[in-house]
Amino acid sequence: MSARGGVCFGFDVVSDIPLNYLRHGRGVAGGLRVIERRHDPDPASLGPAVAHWPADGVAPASALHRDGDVSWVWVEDGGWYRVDPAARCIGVPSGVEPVRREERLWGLPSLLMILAAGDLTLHAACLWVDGRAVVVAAPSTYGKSTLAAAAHMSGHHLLAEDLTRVRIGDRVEVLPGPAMVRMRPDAAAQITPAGRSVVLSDGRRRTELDGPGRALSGPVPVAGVVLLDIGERIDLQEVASFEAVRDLWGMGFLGIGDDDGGRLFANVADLVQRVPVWRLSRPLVMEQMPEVIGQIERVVAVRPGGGG
Amino acid sequence: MGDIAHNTVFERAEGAVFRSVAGGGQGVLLNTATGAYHSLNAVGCVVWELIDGRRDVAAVIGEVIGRFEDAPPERVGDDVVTFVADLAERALIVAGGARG
Repeated sequence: MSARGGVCFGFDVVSDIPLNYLRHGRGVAGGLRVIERRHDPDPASLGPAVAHWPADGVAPASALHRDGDVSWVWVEDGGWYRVDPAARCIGVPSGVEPVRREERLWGLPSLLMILAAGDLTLHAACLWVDGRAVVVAAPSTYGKSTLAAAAHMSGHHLLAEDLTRVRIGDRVEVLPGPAMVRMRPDAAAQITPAGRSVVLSDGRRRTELDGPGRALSGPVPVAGVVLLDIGERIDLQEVASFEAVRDLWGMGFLGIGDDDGGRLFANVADLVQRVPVWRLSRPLVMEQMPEVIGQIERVVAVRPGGGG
Repeated sequence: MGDIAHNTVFERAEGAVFRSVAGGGQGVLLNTATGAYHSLNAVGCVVWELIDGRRDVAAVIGEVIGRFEDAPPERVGDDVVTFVADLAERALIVAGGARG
């Protein structure tokens, strides 16, 4: 179900091109215009990248260039994205496979827009559990997406799959990301969330999530954060503040400004001060998934309220 | 460490970021210049708050003694000086001058 308007990460998105993963409703974080660009920039004119990330087996290689207040994001399989936070506009390349292009749009380019707004972004999935958000943070290959997809199928709507926007104000809230989930081929063979799916050349299946969860576009109060770990048995423990800040800080996305390291740290510490952080160890065994999801539910059940 | 004149005035380093956690009973401190990350207990949080570029070390000690009345004053003084010296060594605070 493609659309030219909708909500993602709290932004009211208006787009030149059809987008598949927008949510229904109204955003609370201002507008975002997505326009299609006909020409790539001349890399020589941009100067050297201020940051670059090698391919890691999950994410493709990417690089970030600055041109005044505008950022140019290059993604190996997705071309060039022009990010202009002041104009609230992201330019996307033409001639790129549409699903992949949109997937990249909701990655680093959107992350830069969110950081410009002062919010915290975590390498995390996020689930809706009884009206509250549980943030599930973990590095790549720790099974975040598989758990998120399985929980989604159990009725806990997926609010974000890999990048979670957290706003810390009067309440601590998540602004839901794209309505999609990506699955590795082995996991996709066992877990099949409802929705239109496509498999790209990397073998991963992208599923456009539909149903009532698609209408969850507004802020959702955070009940807790779960640091997902791998262990021999299922175990959920609340984490002490010092350890929680240290581990979550490593899963926060840093900006590119001089003060961004300190700002990320302060945001993470404020999050830890406001909501409980748990460590959930579990074996990577599909048969135990219902019990693991039960532990996620416990995070909400043991601390009524939420939102810090 | 510990070799700190009591009339020295310290201020927080520009790259030091502090936040209260655990309901205000603890603090975490980052040196953004080095990436080093530290934990502060309740007394450390109070000392950090009092290092404001105006009070000298003697004034900081006096305030801490006033807030933790159950602790022996001499012990508090020694602990504050040791802690301040440690912060300075880790470049989390810098000496801004001396009083009188």
